[in-house]
Amino acid sequence: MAFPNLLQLFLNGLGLSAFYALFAVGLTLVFGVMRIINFAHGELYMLGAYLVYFVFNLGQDQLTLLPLFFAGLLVAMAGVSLLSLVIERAIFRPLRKNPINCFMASVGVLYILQVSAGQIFGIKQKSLPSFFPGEIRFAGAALSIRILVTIIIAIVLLGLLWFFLEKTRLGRGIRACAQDGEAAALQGININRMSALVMGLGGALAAASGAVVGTSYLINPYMGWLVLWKAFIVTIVGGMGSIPGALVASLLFGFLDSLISSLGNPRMEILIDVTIMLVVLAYKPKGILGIAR
Amino acid sequence: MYRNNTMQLLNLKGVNKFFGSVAAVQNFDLEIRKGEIRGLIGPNGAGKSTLFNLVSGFLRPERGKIFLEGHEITGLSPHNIARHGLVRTFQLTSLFNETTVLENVLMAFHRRYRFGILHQLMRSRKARSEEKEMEGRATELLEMMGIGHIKGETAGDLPLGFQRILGVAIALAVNPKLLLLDEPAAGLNPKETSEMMQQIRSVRSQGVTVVLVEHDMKAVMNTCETLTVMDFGKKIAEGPPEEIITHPRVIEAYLGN
Amino acid sequence: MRDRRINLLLILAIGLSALTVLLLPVISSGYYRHILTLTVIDILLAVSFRAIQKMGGWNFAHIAIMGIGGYTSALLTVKLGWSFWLGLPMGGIMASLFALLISWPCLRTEGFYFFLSTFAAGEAIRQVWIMFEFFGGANGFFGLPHPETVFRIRFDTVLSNYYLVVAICSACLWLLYRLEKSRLGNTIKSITSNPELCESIGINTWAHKASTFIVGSFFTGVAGVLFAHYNGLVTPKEFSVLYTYKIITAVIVGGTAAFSGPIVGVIFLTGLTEIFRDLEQWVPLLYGIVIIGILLLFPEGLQSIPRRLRGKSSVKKPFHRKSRDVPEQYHAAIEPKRGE
Repeated sequence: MAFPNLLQLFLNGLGLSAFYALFAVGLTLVFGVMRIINFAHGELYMLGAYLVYFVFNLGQDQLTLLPLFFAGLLVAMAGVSLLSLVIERAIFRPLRKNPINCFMASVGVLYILQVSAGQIFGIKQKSLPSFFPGEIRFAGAALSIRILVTIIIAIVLLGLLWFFLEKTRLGRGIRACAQDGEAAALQGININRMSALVMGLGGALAAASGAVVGTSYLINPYMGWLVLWKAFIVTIVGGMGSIPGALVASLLFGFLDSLISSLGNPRMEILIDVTIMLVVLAYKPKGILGIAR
Repeated sequence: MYRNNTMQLLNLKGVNKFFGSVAAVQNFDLEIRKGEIRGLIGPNGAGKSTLFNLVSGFLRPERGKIFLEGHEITGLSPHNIARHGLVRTFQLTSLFNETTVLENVLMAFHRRYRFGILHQLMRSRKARSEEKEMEGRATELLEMMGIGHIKGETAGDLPLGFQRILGVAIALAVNPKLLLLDEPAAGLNPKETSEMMQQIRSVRSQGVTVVLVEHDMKAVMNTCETLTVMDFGKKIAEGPPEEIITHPRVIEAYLGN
Repeated sequence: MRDRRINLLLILAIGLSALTVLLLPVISSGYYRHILTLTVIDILLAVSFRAIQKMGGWNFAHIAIMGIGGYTSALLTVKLGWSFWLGLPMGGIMASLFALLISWPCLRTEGFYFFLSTFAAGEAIRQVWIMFEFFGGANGFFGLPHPETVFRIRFDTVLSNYYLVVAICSACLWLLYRLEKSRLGNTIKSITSNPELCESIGINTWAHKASTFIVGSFFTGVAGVLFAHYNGLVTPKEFSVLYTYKIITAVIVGGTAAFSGPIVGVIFLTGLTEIFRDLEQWVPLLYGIVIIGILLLFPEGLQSIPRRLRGKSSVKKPFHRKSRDVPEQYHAAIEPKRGE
């Protein structure tokens, strides 16, 4: 086996981290504000991928690949965002008092979405053409453009999120809720609106991660389920509710998993990841960075 | 092990607790003698509850040591400290709300049972008679505290005065050497307050040492032999009640707020 | 203060169920015997799940732990030639050992961590089975023997297996019931109701929670052994997350307040699944709708329906009740410490 070029390895790791980050940040954001674990998060990701597929099928005769992809990305983010708002209003809001019920209801949503997707789109795997073929040759390494695009999209979206949370009034409202829901309510912040907002954002991020994955892997109704446990490991290790934590943990696991799979034994990935999670839980139960304050 | 005067029950040496950069308790020393009733007073936010939490194991101090009867208990978990004989009550009444008064006390008797799980599974005669015996003792304790007549009531339904007394009864049921009472008279009317203080005095006469946090000055003056005054996490005065009420630092602390 | 009417009703209910359980397989076809056997195992799983849930833990590794029981017995009987009757307790023991192993990192004071971490741990176990040839890989292995003949009773027919499963599960259910009514059960209830008060009177809350988890997992492992030997094989696919979800749905649907809740839930769900047998791929969606419907309409499960009809209101307990004067940051102090 040829020794993989270090730069390539680095980029692969970064690409995987970008994907994890998009997926996990949405999950941890929702938890931070609503104290709810949304098990259906993986299905939102899956639907994001399917929406891109749908758009592609619709417009492949009218548009070239690049604008087609971004159209698909936008549709995916908007569509899944809308769905998340519906879920929040219909299911999470009435159950808000009891997080465990919300969690179980989210598993219910998971199954409804999964079966529905399977029935609507069929359970056979779908594939999309490569929207970003080719590589850039740099310093003797072949850097896949697809991975570069993933990283760029992640940076842009997460950067927008950061800007939104730090600099806008709504964003500050969200952070206030995450810190202390009761106090925020007393200050006049509309918790319902914050919850809806956060679900929408989380859904959009999940859809984005689905969109980028859909371009390089096969799309099937069960893909959300497969990544979900990984998202939980990342968010637990980073600290539930902590966006910086999720980012750090995404980097950690992105590089680690990338390394493990390049060494040829992908199944060890799970064992190692879970062991790390259990070890972190044993000694630092709030995760590496703890709950975001 | 800390060599101590055998009359000393509780010893704090240089205890510090920080929340972030805020010092909730600073360099705190305290000595409680066996058999005394000590009052811990001070304005709101002085750190009294934090001190209780530190001593009873719900918080760990950053620095300093805590000794109970010469054994170091710093940083032990609450249940361990309770087993060493230090029991505390909670500021907002803490009970098992869904069960009866009697069952609340029985829960505190948990260490006294001799017949274990096998007997219970079989509901053997021994287990059943032991259960009866425990119920008898619990009833005795409740009657001694004046709430025997309501032993079948649901704890959460009781009026506040009775709830408070039940809280103390539960703590007593564990046979403590030292009892930390966190504002036992809060929310009680004068009659209930004096009944509570009467209970506390009778508790002491059975050999239990008591440390009391309380805001009701009259009750504190009449019940405690020594007062320790805290402000901003530090001890600012200590002595008999007559001295404390005229102590300039104490007056400043209360009026200054 | 016993209500005589309720007692009579209860006895009638138990009597009828016992009769059904004992006679139904004799009069029905092989298919229904099969379903009944699996239902009884599901009942044991659901009740042991609730026992663990009672201490505050939604255990997403439940079915994986069941699988550990099954795989243990499979390995012992097939590879080492041990008797089923030894494999049975060993399966339970291995399951409890695993629970012991993960109770340190998983049983934190924050309830969320328990089900998330057990979820991940459960997946890890499944991957271990798939990964290593020792466990037969993705295909598992077969050839699990029927229980050996004891006291001249043979266990090589579906009917005899059914009665064996009923007997063992009944014994386990009885034990679980007595445990709940014992002082240990009362202590667990108190810990759920007010953990700080328990700590202050000398109860080691963490040790009690861990014990419940470990003991509950023993019965889960036993269910796994029964399941494995009944099917004659063990594969990773059998112990899937869908199965976990089914059990959890049953527990929620039936309600966790009473011991019989999970039993009602399992029967209800199994009935529903059988009705929709032809539309098998829609079953998960059905579960999803049932669960959401129950949560929105009957949050305490079907169990609460008779109570609500009678007009009694019930207090919904918050997920993690915290004593207000020991603020959140203090709860970390109730964590288990090393070496305790």
